[in-house]
Amino acid sequence: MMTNSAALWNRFIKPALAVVLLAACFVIATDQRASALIEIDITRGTIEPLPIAISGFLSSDSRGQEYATDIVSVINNNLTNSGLFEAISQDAFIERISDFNAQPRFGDWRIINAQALVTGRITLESDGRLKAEFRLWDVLAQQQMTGFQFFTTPRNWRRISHLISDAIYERLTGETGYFDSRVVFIEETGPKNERVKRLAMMDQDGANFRRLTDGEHLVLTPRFNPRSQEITYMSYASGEPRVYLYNIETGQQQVVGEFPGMTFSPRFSPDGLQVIMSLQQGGNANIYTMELQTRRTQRLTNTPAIDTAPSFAPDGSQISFESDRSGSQQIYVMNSDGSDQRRISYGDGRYSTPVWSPRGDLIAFTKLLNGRFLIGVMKADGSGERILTEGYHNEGPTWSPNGRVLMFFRESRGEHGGPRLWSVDLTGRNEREVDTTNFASDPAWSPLMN
Amino acid sequence: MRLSLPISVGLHTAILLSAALALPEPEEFEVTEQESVPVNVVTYEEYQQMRAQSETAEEVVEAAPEPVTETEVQEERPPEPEAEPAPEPEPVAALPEPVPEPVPPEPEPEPVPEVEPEPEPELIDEAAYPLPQQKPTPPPRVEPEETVLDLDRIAALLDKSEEEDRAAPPPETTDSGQQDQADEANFTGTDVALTGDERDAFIRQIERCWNPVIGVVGADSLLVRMRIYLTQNGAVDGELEVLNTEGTSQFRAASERARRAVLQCQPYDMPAEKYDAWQEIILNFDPRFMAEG
Repeated sequence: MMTNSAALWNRFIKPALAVVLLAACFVIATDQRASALIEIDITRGTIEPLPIAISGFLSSDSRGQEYATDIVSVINNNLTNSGLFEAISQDAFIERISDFNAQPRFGDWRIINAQALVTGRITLESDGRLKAEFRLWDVLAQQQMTGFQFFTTPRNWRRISHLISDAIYERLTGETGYFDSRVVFIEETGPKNERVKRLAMMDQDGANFRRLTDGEHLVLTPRFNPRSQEITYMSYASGEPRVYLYNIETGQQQVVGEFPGMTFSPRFSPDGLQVIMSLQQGGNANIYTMELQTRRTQRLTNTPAIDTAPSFAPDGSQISFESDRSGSQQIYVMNSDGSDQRRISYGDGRYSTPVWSPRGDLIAFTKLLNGRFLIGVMKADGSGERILTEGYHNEGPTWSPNGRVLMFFRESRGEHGGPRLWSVDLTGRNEREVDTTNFASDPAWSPLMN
Repeated sequence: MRLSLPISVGLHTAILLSAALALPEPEEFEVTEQESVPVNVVTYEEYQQMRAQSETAEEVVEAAPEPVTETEVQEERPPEPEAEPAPEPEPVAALPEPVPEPVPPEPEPEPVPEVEPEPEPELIDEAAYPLPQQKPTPPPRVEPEETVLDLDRIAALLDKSEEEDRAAPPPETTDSGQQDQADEANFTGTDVALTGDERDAFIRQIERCWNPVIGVVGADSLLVRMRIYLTQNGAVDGELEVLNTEGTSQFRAASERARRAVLQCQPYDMPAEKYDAWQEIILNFDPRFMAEG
């Protein structure tokens, strides 16, 4: 057996193996090319608004068609204003969508360079409700990305438009949207030396404007409760500046606590259960919190300086504030119990009104440098400072609920000059004026309404 | 040209080995080793690339094509039925002097009067019509070679009748597979590899269409690793395969944007004679250097 197999091995198998090995050499040599798998890093892109086509929403009757037109217009406006989308003009559309449940002809949308397509349908139900349906399509991948339907009373069509806008925004950017939100601000009317200041409110796109106070008393620095439709602000209603609460739904208004001095610069804690503010005592101001349920107060700073503009981190663990304890206004951060107070701003100029982003990653601020006012952001440790906008007078940044956009006010010079609201994207790329009829200052962005 | 010498050495060695084998005598001759293959003439750039790959490779989970349906969307925050804030456009009447009240404002749930809006989102059913089904697998590929050599197959290769039949692509869709593949990528490409200029031209073509979202949370770490196959005329062949995953909405958006870039900018202008070198490409979309805009 052994010899047989040895002979077999020597006579046949070995030569065969040799041939095989030689052949393998050729295979390896030729396949050097075939197995070449290249790997390539793409590190630079082209940052531009995403081209999106919002087709006219369908409706079977003329009343529904009016809503459809209005809703599409609001969505268009929202997405365009965000700076992240470019709504393609309807004139360019090749396909006219006629069936909401049919797949679009993607080729037609690709020709006009649309990357995303929105289709929709508005139906007025027999019970009087309005049904709004939409689908978002990925034109290049040729598939539906998302789709929802909403029911509401017809007069709520604007909110539906915002909710649809948010859903589109969210799906295409990966971040939550901010369109279904509103802004309170100080409306300013009258001549420059005799301004009447009212608390006013509007949707984030400027619609649904309404006044909340009558202008008899000076009001300043409104701030939204991040958990509800409630505002805290400072008013001279009682003669001395005090911090007040205002419930938007009920119109109920009340002062926050009785303090021996002026209270100002209020802001809610992230859970909405506390108000943090400054209390002036002599020439100093220190920071206090007050639990709204128990009215219990806690003093967080105790320096012979002016500590003000406190703002909680969204997780409630830390507080940023402004202080001139080092000689000039700078930004500081402390733990929520007042411990470990440390300065984080070290750039040139004076820093004020730090506002912690709802995302938690950044602190927005106003900076005075060489006689100009700048709005910028820095990380919570003070690093990575970036200036987003600058000018003669910019102030009062407030974050959109998703931490993507800052709204602030910009004052123009001259006798007829006055403050207007502006917004700028976190990247500094998309600066726009927010349309208000009268002068407006001190904006405060609400949380999402849903 | 870099690898010709080592390859030549390898081949000659192998030939010698064959000869040795063919001789009747020395028994116990082992034919196991192929050490001649690991010829690593690696440029600094490639070395950096390998390192980057070995770091990312750990994150590579299985490369599943994106599902067609979006069931998770259903979990998106359901807009609460909420009251129209009954806006009174006219100025509010003179406010009463705010009196400190002993009772603190109850952080009660918002009053919900004539609740109508209920903009309850419902997921719109996609099943109503067929959508183009994504191919579950990449285009037909040759199975990885086994270690047992097949004479017939070798003969076939020798007579070049199956020239286009690509040999032994690295095993895929597993973690270790990725690593192997990554390694291999750095040891290949000699005469037929793309030149730096050809590579750059390809990169520029994709960069023109890549429009990442910047400024989102964690934008600087949203690396998307993708395998693509190209036809001989430079068009995308079959499904794009995203090789890593993170399960966040930001990553999903980032990977879709990478996908769109590849689809939008095709066909790619590539040297036809080097098709073997670029028919399969791994792309790393790395937004780190443009995250803050």
